[in-house]
Amino acid sequence: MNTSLAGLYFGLLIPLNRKTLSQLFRVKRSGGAGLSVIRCSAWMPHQKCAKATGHAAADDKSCQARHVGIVDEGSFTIKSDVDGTEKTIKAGDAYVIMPGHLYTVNGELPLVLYEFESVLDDIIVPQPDEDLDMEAFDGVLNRHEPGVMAKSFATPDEQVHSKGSLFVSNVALFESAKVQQVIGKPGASWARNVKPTLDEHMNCEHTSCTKRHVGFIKSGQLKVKMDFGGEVIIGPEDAFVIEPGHDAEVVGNADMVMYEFVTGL
Amino acid sequence: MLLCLIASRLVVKNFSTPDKTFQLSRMVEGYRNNLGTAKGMRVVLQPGATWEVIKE
Repeated sequence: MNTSLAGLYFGLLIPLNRKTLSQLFRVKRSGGAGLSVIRCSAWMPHQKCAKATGHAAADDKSCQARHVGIVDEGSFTIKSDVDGTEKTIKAGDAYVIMPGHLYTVNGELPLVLYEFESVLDDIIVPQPDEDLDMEAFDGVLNRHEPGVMAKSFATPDEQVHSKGSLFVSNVALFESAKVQQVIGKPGASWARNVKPTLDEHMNCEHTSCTKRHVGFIKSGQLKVKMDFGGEVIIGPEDAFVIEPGHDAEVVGNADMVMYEFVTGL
Repeated sequence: MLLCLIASRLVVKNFSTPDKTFQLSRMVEGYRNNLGTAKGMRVVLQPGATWEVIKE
């Protein structure tokens, strides 16, 4: 099935098989790689997409956005008005907050958050030659996550060290998202410090990093070199999307700290 | 710094020069960058900010 046909097929299935789905999801092509089912956007506080995640609140008595982010400074307390979950989330935490919640900023200092949403980290991405997996789609619809989830990078779910530990990734895993803090020492590079381990682990030769990265740099500098020749140094407060096919190296004398987000697993 | 490079294979935008700045009451300021296939936002909330206050 080519991409166009898949788009037609999938576009028709939603209204026919799930009468409420058109309110829950929007469907987009993702350039040449099939189709994407995308969660409702979580950017404006009054957006009504609570039902997409099984959270039924649909009024302005609480925030109806889904948030995936990290706390950089300060703390706040979140209470889900759907399942009653309540958590205080503080600097150094990653969080996923489902639609239907109230919040209060604690203390006397401003709260600084960074939140990301990627439109390509899709729940279901049928490839052009694949049939749509409706079973998986049902699984997504029926998935029910706690209203508020937070994890500290100080006690990550996974910690990944590159060769020589020049890169260290602290990974916070959520059911529908992954957030990681990556710390790179000066001189650390993908080609020198990550590729050897990856080649050995995968038993094949990588020419460049094949991962897509979405996030921002908190401190330090990273030189990114694309396979086709583009090169740029990114630094503090730079938000980025780096598509597959690149090398990267920490430049300057300071550690580089960045955060990466996969927001729609 | 704002850089959009090379056919969107690499997109970099700094939060100091965001695509959009918004303010919800005096308690919340947001800086939002559209990265093509993703969006990034920096949000600053003042002490005491609550959903009830901000939605007004």
